[in-house]
Amino acid sequence: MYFKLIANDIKNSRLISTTVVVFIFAASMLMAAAAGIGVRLASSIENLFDQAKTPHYMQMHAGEIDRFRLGRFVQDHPDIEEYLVAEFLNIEGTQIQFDGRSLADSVQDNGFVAQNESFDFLLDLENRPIVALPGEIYVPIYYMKSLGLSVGDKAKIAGREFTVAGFVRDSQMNAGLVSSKRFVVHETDLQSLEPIGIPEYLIEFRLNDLSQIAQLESDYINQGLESNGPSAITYALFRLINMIADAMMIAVLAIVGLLVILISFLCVRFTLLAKIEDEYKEIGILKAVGIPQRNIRRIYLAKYLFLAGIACALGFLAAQFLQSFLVQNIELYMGKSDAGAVPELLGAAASLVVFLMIYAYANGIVKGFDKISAADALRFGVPSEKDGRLSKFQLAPSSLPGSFFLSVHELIVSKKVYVTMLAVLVVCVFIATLPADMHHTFADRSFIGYLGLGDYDLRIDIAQMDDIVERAEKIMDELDADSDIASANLLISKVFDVPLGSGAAQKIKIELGDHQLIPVNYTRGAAPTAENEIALSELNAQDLGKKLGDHIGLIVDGRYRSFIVSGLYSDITNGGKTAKAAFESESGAVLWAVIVIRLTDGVLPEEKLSAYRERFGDVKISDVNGYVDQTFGGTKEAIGKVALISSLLALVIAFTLTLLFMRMLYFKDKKQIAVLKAVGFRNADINLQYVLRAMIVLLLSLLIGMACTRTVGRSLGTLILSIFNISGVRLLGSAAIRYFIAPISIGISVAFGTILGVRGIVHLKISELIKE
Amino acid sequence: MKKLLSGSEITMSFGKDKTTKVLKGVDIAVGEGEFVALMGASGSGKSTLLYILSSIETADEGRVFFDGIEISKLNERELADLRRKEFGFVFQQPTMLKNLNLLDNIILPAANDQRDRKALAERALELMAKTGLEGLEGRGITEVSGGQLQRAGICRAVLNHPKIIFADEPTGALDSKSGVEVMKLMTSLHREGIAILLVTHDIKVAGAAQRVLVMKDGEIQGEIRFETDDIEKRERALAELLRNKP
Repeated sequence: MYFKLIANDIKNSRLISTTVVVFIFAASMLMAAAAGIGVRLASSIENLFDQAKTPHYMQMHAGEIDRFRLGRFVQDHPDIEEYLVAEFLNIEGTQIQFDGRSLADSVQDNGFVAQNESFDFLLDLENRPIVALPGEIYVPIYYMKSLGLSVGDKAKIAGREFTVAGFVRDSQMNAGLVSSKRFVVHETDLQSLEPIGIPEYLIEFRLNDLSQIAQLESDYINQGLESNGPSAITYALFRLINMIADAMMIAVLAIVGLLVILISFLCVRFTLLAKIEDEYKEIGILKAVGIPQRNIRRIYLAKYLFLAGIACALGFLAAQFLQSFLVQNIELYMGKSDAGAVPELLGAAASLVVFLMIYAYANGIVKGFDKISAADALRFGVPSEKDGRLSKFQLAPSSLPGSFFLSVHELIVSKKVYVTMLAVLVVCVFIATLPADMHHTFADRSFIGYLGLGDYDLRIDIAQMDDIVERAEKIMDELDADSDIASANLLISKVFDVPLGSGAAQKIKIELGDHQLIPVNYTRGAAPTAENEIALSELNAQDLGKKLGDHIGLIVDGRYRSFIVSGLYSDITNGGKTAKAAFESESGAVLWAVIVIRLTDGVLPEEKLSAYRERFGDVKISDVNGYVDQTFGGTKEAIGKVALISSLLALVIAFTLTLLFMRMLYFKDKKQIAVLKAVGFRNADINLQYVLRAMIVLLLSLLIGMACTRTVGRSLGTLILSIFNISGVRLLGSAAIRYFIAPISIGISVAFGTILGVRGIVHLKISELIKE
Repeated sequence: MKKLLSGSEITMSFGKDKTTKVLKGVDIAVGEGEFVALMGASGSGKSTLLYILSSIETADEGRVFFDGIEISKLNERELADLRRKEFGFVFQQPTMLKNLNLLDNIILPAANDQRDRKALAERALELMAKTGLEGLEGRGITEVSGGQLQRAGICRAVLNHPKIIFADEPTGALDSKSGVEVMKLMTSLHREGIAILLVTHDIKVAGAAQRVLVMKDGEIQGEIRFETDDIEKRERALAELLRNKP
């Protein structure tokens, strides 16, 4: 019996049923895809780390290594399972060419390595350890993508010919976010390249017990072992860096999925309420003849159970196709997952949860049937609350044209109905603008404010040489004489000890110089100006347990000095742990120097970039766009994809929901429309009423939606970014998208939906409805 | 009497393949200020004819003229203007917008013409007073009786000073007392010079008209023009006509 009822009901309301199915389908697809991709990502990373035997702790170092001391350190730590010192031969980008194109523009540190013997294996695209033969070169996937390389391409390294034999899947340095990349060559080739490169070392450890990593890190620092390089990286950080771009995509998919579930709720709510209104009398009759309430509820629920079941199942199947498209990046960088059927099982579980949520929600609504009095339903045929819904807003005293009055009046008296449409459109505005805002934030020039360097045009990185400071000062002298430069600021990074209570000390990298000249954006406080002030990156402050105004002790030039935390800023470079100060120090190893340059107005950064590259060939020079593109390009691209998909989704939702909504209103209002036509309203007048109502609701939803994006959305976006260590980033909105593209495109979708939804007005036969 | 409304050779069929012929080439005319009643059994085609003549239904064949204009050639916009400015409608069931009060429902057809809203409301209140609806202007349509609602419908029909009122069984859903009141109103409107074309199956209602056309099987099969004002004599004559044209 239920099947017959369902079939008839669906037949009579094909459009409405289809729309409900579409939304539940989309929700199920997005949630199943997010769950499936999440599992695949975790499994691919796990697999990659297993195959590569990724180090649990790694410290980069430029300079001599006391191998005897290192050996003793290992002996003293029985938890260390294995260790190795891998050579990383840093070769300038200008010396590396692929089919005539050099890597001069690259901001990456390009290192040449031979395959390791015991762990930290560099893998090929089949996740097998690479075995490079003489004359062969294996190129990082990062360059394979950005340069469009393929196997068999020719490479020239410092004049020596190589053939690209494959690509490197590097569990440490895969991500664009990591500023070093490893090329694999044969041991003999590496030796022949040594004269033209600068050797650096990766000091790596694997432990028997992962819980000992923090202890190892602390001991390594306290014993003052080799650490002339960026901060040490742990296993957890390798994992985070590898997953950041894809995890953000999964997070956005899940959020959009949750919003679509919300829309499905509204859709089910609206269709069920309309159904109750339509069949009020019938429900009364069913009650009057003694059918139990539970059975009446079942009759109405059966259809939604059926539709939700079909939609969730189809959504799950579609998620498999969507995943195959979205996991391409994961599979390329991390390899295929070997999670077996787990992604499918978890995806199915996500779809099932969507189904159960829809069921529970629909069940809650049909419980409202219990309140319907059989006597009232039979007497009036309409819900009694409809009676006397007279508004104080009346036609006679108003001066509004009739059609406009009726539009506004209907909105007032049926506000409950229109609130549903409003809520859906608010959600549409939200999902159309939030991911776009996130993408815009990455694409905007001000994003460099989060790179710990202020708003600059060019940067010169001086590292891996014996005379860093002298070289930097010489370059500064030349820059001072250049009239194209508005300001140039030299910042020197050194490492200092922070004494801990236990007598041990923690290392901290501090950038010394004038931090007011080209300041960063401080989330709290200001730049350090006095000798006793220090600014900390958010992550460093969190790590050290310091707040604005707190004191922090440092060992400077051999003596203890106290500093006040003058400011906190967001920095997503160098693992997020940086500091800035203005004091001068003679001691401490210089890690690197950066010259930040702002050009005078009218000078093209591209031209200056090539001129400086020619002039200062031994240092790395990059412009801001190149730096951001190479480090955050992947993340930006992933968010861009999601922004595009969610914007299109918002338009589809706005269109279909308006169409559905207006169609239902049309069916509900048919008799009233006939009355209006009979008394001389033109089709255009009546159409106008629906369009006007839709536009008023749209206008309100744009206002509310934009306010939501600016408040809740901003917090939500910032929260998502902070999960990935991009803290304190303030979401920026593109004025063109927020105030022009999004409102107009949603407006067009709503207008089309409305016009199509009420297109029946033209063909409506007055006589048939008046006779009823 | 000058011809106000006329239809010639009007045919209309219903059903999937237009197999059920409801009107079979009907010719009809209503003069200026004339009160004509269309009588007939259920399914005789009288309501369909009224809808075609009043432009809310389109005939399969035939031509309809109003005041010299062939309305079957007018477009949707012109037809709507005609209905609003020249015609008044009174239907069997109250056809009012449920969320508006009586006054707003009455002035609704004129509201789009940008007229002086105050003058419009004053005329509506005047009409309401005349039809015994004084003080009910702020009531909702569920807060008045069927008879009151039908009288409000008549107020709405005459608000725009129409030349003709089309009434489809205006007393059909009312009790006898309300029905009498409604017919008194129709008669007084006719006296003011408004033409009326009324559909009914009630002899007493039809007796109020000057001329009665009797329909059967989609054709006009009888006609009577009353020469007397005596209602009882009219009803007797009508009954006689119906007996001869069962």
